[in-house]
Amino acid sequence: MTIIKTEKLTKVYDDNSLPVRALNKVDLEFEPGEFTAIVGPSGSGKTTFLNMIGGLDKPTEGKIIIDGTEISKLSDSKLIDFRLHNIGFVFQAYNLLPVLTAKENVSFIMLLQKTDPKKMEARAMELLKQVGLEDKVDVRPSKLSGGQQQRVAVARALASKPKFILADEPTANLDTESAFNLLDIMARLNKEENVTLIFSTHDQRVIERARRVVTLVDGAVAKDERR
Amino acid sequence: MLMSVYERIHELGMLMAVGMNRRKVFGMIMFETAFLTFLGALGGMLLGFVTNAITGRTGLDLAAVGGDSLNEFGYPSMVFPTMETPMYFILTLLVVIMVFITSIFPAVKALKLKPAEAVRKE
Ligand SMILES: Nc1ncnc2c1ncn2[C@@H]1O[C@H](COP(=O)(O)OP(=O)(O)O)[C@@H](O)[C@H]1O
Ligand SMILES: [Mg+2]
Repeated sequence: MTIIKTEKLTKVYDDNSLPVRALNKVDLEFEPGEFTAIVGPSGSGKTTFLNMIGGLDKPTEGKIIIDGTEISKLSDSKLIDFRLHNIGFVFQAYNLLPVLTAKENVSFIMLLQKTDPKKMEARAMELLKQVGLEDKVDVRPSKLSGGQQQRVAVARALASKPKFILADEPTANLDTESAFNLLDIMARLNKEENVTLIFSTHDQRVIERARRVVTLVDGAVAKDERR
Repeated sequence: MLMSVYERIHELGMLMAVGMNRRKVFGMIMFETAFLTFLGALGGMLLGFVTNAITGRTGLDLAAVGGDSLNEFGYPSMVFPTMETPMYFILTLLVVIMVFITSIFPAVKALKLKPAEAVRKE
């Protein structure tokens, strides 16, 4: 069973004077339960690829099929709804709302999904426990370390029960210890909860944790290893 | 303040990226704007009214800052400021403009952005 499939996925940025071919005919498939690292030097197209399969931007050419739906054909507003119900996101920065506590940051996504408020509270607590932040539920992001903030972001990404989670350089702003800690949590979620995870990184330290490594060079797949 | 406007665009962009639709973003901004404008205008008017009432009664003793120099020009050193009603409207308008800059402007910006651009780290 394939959950994400790209066919000749191509993205050309041409809003500036010089068009940039950020992705060039990428054919990739992802199975449920996979834990994949997208690696490659800066500018190789990692962010562009994650944005495409996350439905945050549209391809210039090619197809993106997620669980049978060709998302490249959806309207902008349908795509927002699709993201809400199918995809969890962890960004490099700007993940959390500063005015909300950790628990509220995890909850609001369930609010958007119109989850029963009683279940919402219990689930937010459970998720924060899974990422080791049960003692920080009522704390605002400014009082959390960078690593703790990213863990809240992981809990939030899980809250909507997505089909998979995308994380674009989630450890880029973290020290080594926090980076390993975050990856350990992601690896555990993948192993124990069978969460499908795809993250990008150019950080050699954290690549080891992934079970599949896709290497991009100049917007094309140069290597695809499973272990 | 520019910083907070900037952060606000990223926040709203993040909300849209994770699945908050335009209608909800718009609704949230409208609610927030109405709330802030109401509070701001109310607070501003109250403050204006109180200072006006006090200084209007007791007068401001400008002699304290200007000595007798004002007298020499033929002005009394005691002035009794009164704010005309239009002033209140101008103040209210200022509040509305502030709210517009800090809340509606970033919202319009964020709604126009592609979500991929809004969450881009610069
Ligand atoms: N919005 C954009 N407009 C123009 N060019 C872009 C834009 N986003 C990315 N690029 C270009 O596309 C290429 C791939 O970028 P990106 O996907 O961000 O790579 P990575 O995440 O691997 O560093 C780079 O050459 C980059 O300069
Ligand atoms: Mg990138």
